[in-house]
Parts: sequence; structure tokens; C-alpha cells
Amino acid sequence: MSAGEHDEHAADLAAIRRAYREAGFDDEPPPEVDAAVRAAAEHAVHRRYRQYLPPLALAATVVVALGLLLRIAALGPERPEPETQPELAPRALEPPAAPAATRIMAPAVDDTASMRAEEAFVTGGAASAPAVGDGPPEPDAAPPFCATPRPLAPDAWLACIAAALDAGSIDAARDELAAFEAAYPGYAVPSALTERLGPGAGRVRAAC
Amino acid sequence: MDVPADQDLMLRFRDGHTAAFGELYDRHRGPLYRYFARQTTRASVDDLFQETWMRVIRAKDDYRPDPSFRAYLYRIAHNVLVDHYRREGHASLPQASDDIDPIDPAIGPDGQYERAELRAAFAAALERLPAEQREAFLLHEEAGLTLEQIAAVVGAGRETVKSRLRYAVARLRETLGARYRAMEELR
Repeated sequence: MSAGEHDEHAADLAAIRRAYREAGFDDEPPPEVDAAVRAAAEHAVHRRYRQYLPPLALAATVVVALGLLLRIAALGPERPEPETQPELAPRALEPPAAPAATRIMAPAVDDTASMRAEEAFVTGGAASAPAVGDGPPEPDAAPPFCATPRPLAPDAWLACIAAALDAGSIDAARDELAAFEAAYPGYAVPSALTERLGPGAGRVRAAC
Repeated sequence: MDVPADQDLMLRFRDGHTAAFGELYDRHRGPLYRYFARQTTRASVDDLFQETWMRVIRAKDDYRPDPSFRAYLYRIAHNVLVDHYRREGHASLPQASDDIDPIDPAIGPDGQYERAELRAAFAAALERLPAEQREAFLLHEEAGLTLEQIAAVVGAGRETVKSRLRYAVARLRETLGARYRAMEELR
């Protein structure tokens, strides 16, 4: 395009643009279209925030539920015994099951000489070590056989009581069963467990 | 007082401020409506106009600052128009309105008549243009886009758009004919 043609085009464009403006095309969207568009914009903004409401509600529910569970756990039927903790400290070096396991394991040794040695340990060590007949540390002030904090879940607790029986800690198993029944009155204890504890053990027995 | 730029309003709308959208809408509703009004039937204008804004609203969360929101808007409008043409085929353009305009005291009844005549003539002249040339003219005149921006909107080269615009002007001048010459004589 030559310079002259360019100028002519520019002049034509300017004139046509003037004519277009003077024609006064004043088309505008009708009010209902305006309203629909504006409403759609409002809806889009509010929808963006509404989509977060269900997850927020769920999160709030979980937080409240967790708070309640923690509070219930802290207020469980058996509180930990902070006063006895210093007493327990020395015994912590010797897990409760260990002496019992030792005592239980001793009779299993076939060697006669070893058995006599073990018996000596059991009878002769009474002065220096906790022994069976010497007011074992478990009763009364003894730490519970099963884990704290309480209450444990029923299945876990019963399994622990069975483990105490397996370890020969009959008294501990009885104590734990008593604590279990206090925490879960009416819970059906498996008869296999109560039978091992002897007559009278377990107030509620499972049907099987 | 600084007037917020279009893209700033769009970003604020993206961030949840519907008032920002309202201002953006007020700025562009007229030209965008006339862009469609000059290229399709009266029955379709409202739908195409509304569809364009719906697409803008739906895409707001993905909006990224654009050097020209105007070009962004008309790119969407162009796509809406193309989709319409594909569905309906090129439809006849609206005839010049027979509505009687209210008398404008600034120009009087004679001026009112002249204006109505000019509008009808211009509408008819636009209708006779090929679609690409008509769109190039409207994007230049109604949307106020540069040649580069028009090229980006329609997906063509700058020189192609420049040619379309030049041919559109030439044909409008030829079609308007005597009226155009009369207008120029009055200058």
C-alpha cells in the first residue's frame, strides 16, 4: 500500500467510524439479561465458598469428637497412680512378667541340678529378691499387669489377662479380671479364661 | 481517583468480590451486546451475549492477568459466535429497527430522522459485508481493539486483519454511497 493509499484508507476509516457513531447504535441487553448475568456472578462466588462447608463441618465434628474422647480417656475408671510412681521406679527395672516367667520357667528345666539351683533361687533369694512367698510386689501396691492408661479396650484387656495366666501370674490375672469387670460390668468374659482362674472367677461368663 | 483496570476488577472478582464483576460488566455490556447485534439475528443476540458472560464467570477461578481483558472477553465472544455459526449456519442479520426513537431535543425531529436513516443504511451495509470483514470492523469499532488484538481474537495474522478492515471500510464507503458523500460534504 502506498503512502497515498494509506492516507486515503485512514481518512475513509475515520469517516466510517464517525458515521457509525452518528448512526447511534444503542443496542443494549434487556434488564432480564442483565439480572441473569449478575445473578450468575453472585452464585459463582457464593458457590465457591459453599463447597467448603461440608469439609469444614466434617473437620469440626472430628475435632469435637476427638476432644470428647480425650476427655473421656483422661477421666477413665482407673486413674494412674502418680503417687506410687517413685515406688515403682526400682521395679521398673524388672518387668513384672520376668520374675514370674523365671519362676514358671524354672520347673520346666529337666536337669535335676538346675532345678535344685532354681529352687534355691526361689527359696534362698527371698531375702534379697522378690519371691513368691514373700509378699510379692504385685498385690496392693504392685503395678497392674496390664498396660495403662485405663480402661483398655475389652478385647485387649482380656488378651492381657490371658497372657498373665500364661505367665503364671494368677493373682495378677485375678486382679486384672476384677478391674476389667468393674470397668465393663456385664461384659461376657470367655469361659476359657474364667475356668483357668478357678471357681468364682468372672461374674459374667460368655455363652460359649 | 484511580479507575481500576479491567484485569484488576477481574482478579478481584476471582477473589470473591461480586461488586468488581458488576463494574466490569457495566463497562463492557453495551459494546459486547452491539458486537453480537450486528452479526446475528435479534433472536440469538441475548443468548450469545449471556453465554459469553457465563463463560467468563465459569472461568474466573482460572483467570490469569491478561494484558487486555477486553481482548480476553472478545476472544470468548468470538468463540461463542463461531459456535453459533456452526450450529445455525450464517443467519440473516437483524433489519434496522422500526422502533421510533424518542425525540432528542439536541438534534430535533429532522436530525432524529436522519439518524434513523443512517442507522438503517449502516446496518444494511454491515450485513452485506463478509463475516470476517464485518467482525474485524466491529472489533475495531465497538470493542476498541488494536489490529494485533483483533488478530489474537480471531486467530489470524495482523496483516490479514489489516486487509479485512481495509476492505470492510472500502465496501462500507461504497455501500453507503451517496449518504457517505453527503456526510463528508457537511464536514
